[in-house]
Amino acid sequence: MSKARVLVIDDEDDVRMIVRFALESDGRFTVDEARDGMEGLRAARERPPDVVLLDGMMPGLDGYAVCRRMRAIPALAKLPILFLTAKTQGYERREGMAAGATDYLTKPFDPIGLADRLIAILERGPRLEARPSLD
Amino acid sequence: MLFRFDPARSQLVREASVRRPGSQWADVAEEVELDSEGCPLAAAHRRQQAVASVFSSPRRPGLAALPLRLGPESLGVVGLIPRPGSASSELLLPELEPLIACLAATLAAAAAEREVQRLSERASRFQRELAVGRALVDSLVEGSDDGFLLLDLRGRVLRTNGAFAGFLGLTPPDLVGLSAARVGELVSERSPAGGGGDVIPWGRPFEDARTLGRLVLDSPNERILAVRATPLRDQDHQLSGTLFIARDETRHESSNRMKTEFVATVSHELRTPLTSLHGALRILESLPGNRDESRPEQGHFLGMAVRNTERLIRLLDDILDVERIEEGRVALNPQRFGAEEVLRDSVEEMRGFAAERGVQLRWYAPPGAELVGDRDRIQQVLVNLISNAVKFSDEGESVSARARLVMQGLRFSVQDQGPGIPSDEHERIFERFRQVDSSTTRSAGGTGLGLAISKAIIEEHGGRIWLRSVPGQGSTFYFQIPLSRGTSSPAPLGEDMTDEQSAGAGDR
Repeated sequence: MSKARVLVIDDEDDVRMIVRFALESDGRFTVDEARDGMEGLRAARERPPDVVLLDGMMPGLDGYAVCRRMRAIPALAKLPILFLTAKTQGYERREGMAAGATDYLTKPFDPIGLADRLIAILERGPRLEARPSLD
Repeated sequence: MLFRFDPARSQLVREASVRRPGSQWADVAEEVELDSEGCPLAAAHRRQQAVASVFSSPRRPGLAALPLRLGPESLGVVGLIPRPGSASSELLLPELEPLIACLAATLAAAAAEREVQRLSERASRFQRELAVGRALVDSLVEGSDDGFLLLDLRGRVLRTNGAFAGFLGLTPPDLVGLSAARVGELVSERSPAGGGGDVIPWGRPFEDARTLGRLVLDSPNERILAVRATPLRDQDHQLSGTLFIARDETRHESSNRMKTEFVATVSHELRTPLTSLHGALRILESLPGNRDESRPEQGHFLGMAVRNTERLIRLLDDILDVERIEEGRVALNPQRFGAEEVLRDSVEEMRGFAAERGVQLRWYAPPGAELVGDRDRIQQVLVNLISNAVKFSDEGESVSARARLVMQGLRFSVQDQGPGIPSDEHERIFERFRQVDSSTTRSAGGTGLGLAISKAIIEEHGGRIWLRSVPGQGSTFYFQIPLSRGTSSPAPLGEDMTDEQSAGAGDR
């Protein structure tokens, strides 16, 4: 089975490094990185990944805007996009889901459980319409 | 001699007497009881007519007593003792009466003048007091930061102050005499849509003091006003107008907003380094090198770093949580659910934690008992109480969680066999960061905010939380949710609370 390609869009070097280490050492993923929203959007357009991990607050284009723009691109419309953000307030979560996120994870996060979480999302499939409610 | 009638004592009191040299009457009484039998003075006063007495003794030639009449009243009595050997007192009366009447009139005039004097002094004193009072009211009204607007029952502005007029960019004379409708227009012109400018019923009389709500103005300055109405009544307690009081809460509101923004910023700024720290530590912990049996301290200290980082994260989450609940920015998500299921789930959530500490968990709920509330929030409270109870229990002890139907609602209790809590701590324990012994908190891994959060949640449900405890005999925490509250919980004002750490797909 080929490895799943993850695109991590985060302006924090530490976070990208932690995510890369956690996912690569798991063995089921390859990781691409982008340091801001524009770079992430470009990378996703050029080579659509299997799943995106997206920071909320970034200089320039923030995560919510990146999410909306990706959804507007047909090739990325059904791509699993997971927020991974320090924006933990209820309205921020709703804003993320409204922007078209598949799931919303908050920081700090446990890198040890991240790989299993992504696999679960990928196995659920990219069919947004049939996304089961966790609530 | 002159006797004045003293109504208080019902006596005639001697005021003055002139005794001629050689007078036989040495023993003129000081006071005469009104009901004295046979005394001409008392008789003259009672009957309101002149009385003369004739004594047989030559040494006592008799007494003429004449009332000092003023209208229907007698002010007193004048008594005259004729010179020995002169005409008998009886014969004197006709001549004396006009004189005495004249005396009475003079006395009455003097008394009346004194009374007029007294009343006019009183009046001018009242006038001075009134002036002082009015000046006080004026300076209070004018000097107040609160805006006042007084309307009469016809809805005309009787009075206002600089503060109120200033809110509208006007001066008091601009407003006095205007109709309530015109005041409404002036306010609406300065209030943005939804600012409440068109909501306040300026023309309406109010029977009771009432808080009318918030009024937002955006010109000439941005203002947030809290408006109240108070009825104004006259001395007969009749409604005579309405006083509107507008309190400027702009600064208070903006400091609240700044505090909320500050908390959000601090939260984000702390989360960023905590994310790196926690992530890095968790990865280090997972590396095979740390299971090196020859260096057990490595894993030990790494575990310590991870645990404390996680505690910092919990503390951060709890601070945000209590902040949001107390600010009222949390809307409950009410639903009907069974007491059994929430108790079972809460106990299951704590099962592992209790087992680690060798504490037994028991629970009971009456089958079919239901309540309406925010299920996740109620579970949060139960988990918090059970977790506290386990933390303060020794190995081998048990903790029981129960639900019980009571008259006023559904009552939950969580009982432990721990050290108990002294009664003077029973109230304070629900305050933030308050624990009977804060060293216990640290060793137990708590944040000191759990009970403050629980209290805020229960009160948000219209319920209450309390405890019974005797040191040495364990503690029981209770909370009660009213059954009648139903789904009529307050409309969402701010964000709701979702479980921040878990993923909430399908969130809406």
